[in-house]
Amino acid sequence: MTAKRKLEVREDIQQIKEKYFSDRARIYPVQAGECLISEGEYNDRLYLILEGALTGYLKDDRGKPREALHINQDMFVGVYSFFSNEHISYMTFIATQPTRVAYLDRDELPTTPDQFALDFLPVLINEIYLRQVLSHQFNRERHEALKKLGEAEKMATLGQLAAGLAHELNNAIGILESNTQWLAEELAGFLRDKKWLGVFEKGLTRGQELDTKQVRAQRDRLEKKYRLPLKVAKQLARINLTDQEVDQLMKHDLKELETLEAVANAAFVLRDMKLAARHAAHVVRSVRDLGANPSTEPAQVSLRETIEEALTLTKKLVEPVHVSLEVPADAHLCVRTGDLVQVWINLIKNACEAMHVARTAQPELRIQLAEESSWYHVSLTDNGIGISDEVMKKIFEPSFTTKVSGLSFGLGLGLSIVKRIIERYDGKITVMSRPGQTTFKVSLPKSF
Amino acid sequence: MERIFIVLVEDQREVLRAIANDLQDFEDAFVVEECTSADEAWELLEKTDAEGDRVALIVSDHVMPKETGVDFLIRVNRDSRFKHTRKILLTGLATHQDTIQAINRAAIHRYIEKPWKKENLVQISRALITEFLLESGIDYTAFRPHLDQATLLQYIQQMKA
Repeated sequence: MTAKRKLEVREDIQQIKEKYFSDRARIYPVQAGECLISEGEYNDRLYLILEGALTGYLKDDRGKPREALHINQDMFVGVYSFFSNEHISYMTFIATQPTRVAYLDRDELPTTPDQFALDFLPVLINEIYLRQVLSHQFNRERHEALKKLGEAEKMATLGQLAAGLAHELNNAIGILESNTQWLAEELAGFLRDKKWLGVFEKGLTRGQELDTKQVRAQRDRLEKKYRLPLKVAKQLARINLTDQEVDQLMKHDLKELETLEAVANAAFVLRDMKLAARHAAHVVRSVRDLGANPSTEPAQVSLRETIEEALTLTKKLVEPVHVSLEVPADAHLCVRTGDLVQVWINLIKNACEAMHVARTAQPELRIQLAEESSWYHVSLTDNGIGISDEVMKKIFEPSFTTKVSGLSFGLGLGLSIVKRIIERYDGKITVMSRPGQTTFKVSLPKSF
Repeated sequence: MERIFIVLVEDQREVLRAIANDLQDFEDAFVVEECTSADEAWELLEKTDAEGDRVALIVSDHVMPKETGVDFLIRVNRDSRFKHTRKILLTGLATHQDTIQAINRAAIHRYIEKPWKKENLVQISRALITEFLLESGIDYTAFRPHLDQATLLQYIQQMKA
């Protein structure tokens, strides 16, 4: 319907062109940037745009010209001033590209006024219709731009809020972390000359090594072997003593059991506190980065350097892992260093945790670079437990976490942030996994 | 003599330890078992039953990998072997729907929100264990120090009436 109407109008225009706008003396070019008619000026010409385009400007309250209308080929300019009685243009038209116009003088109509009206009515109605459509489109674009701006502002506010919150929380977490450290050292000092320092230190570094099932089995074994009350057997099992150590205790009628249990529990609790503080710090950092308004500009950075930085930041975690970094130093990308470092940290952390959970005997992490004509592919391969199909489906969802050992941050917010960052650079992240080999591949376009 | 069990289910080890610490005093008379998954707890329930022991109370977290606390408690509720067993859902994150399920299908006896208070957890546990002992017709005199006097009194008054 619309297409048909336009087609008819097109024919009308063709007829009008020939009849009214074919006088070569009344056809002339307008350079890009040149003004065709100005707001407030006298005009008694009707212009038809033969080719090119113009933009119409209206002055706002403060007299500043604002874009109001786009005029293309086969549209008219000067309609209002030509047909109204005052012949004053209410808009300024400036050519946006080399344009050719034909015009009609009001005083020199080639036909009778009646015939003129008859000829022009359909094209003028079409002109008004076209202008309205364009104005709608223009409004919609402006509305969308405003919405985007609003969202950007919201994110910036959120980012500031998150940064403020992160700062406050980091201070609090810092105090908890350093005081926990201090308390652990004080206690170790206090226990220096006591024989239970070993139990304390073991508990502090390794935590409760036996799972609940193993504790139960050990409890039942000790109960039978030493004919102990169940409660006492459980206390012993929890501390995870060797049988020699239990023999030692038994020699003194378990007199020291209460003290020993307190020492072991203190160690476990201090370890939990330390891990909880680290966990909290990580959550805070992730939230801050999620809402962060990127303040620094992207710059040329060496891919290898960003990975090296991430490895430094995860030093403690990476310590027991054999890392091979097979990325040449000359691969460069235009990114924010912080973004990439954050990506690697999360992937390295996940890999190390997966290997830790699986108690992988010889944990290995291979970081390799593959290059295509327009892409860099960085792959991180670990020999941990692998990812189950079930987990795989949800792996990049923001709220998803495997919560393997409770205190470790696992795959929580981390991977959704990684994905967000990579997509910001028009990149992709994929994962392939089977038990004993999991590869995360990050693909980034060189040209970004 | 049959042993009476209290079973704790919580996937986060440090939280599990905190619950166990709070309920430590019960260990004089009961066996307090710690489990990190619903599977492990179920295995334990089967074993307890097979050995002729009884489960007085289950305290379970809700949000756990694999089977949730509510699903686990529904399983327990359906099994007539544990019809007198008291059930507490201890959670910080349950949706409205989860809670409805917990009440209607798992027939939980108490809902405790995390973070919990030790006195509160101990008090509720006492009351529920007392109910369990009375309802199962177990001689409660041996457990006297751990019983809830109010629950006991109410029971005795009902008996008289």
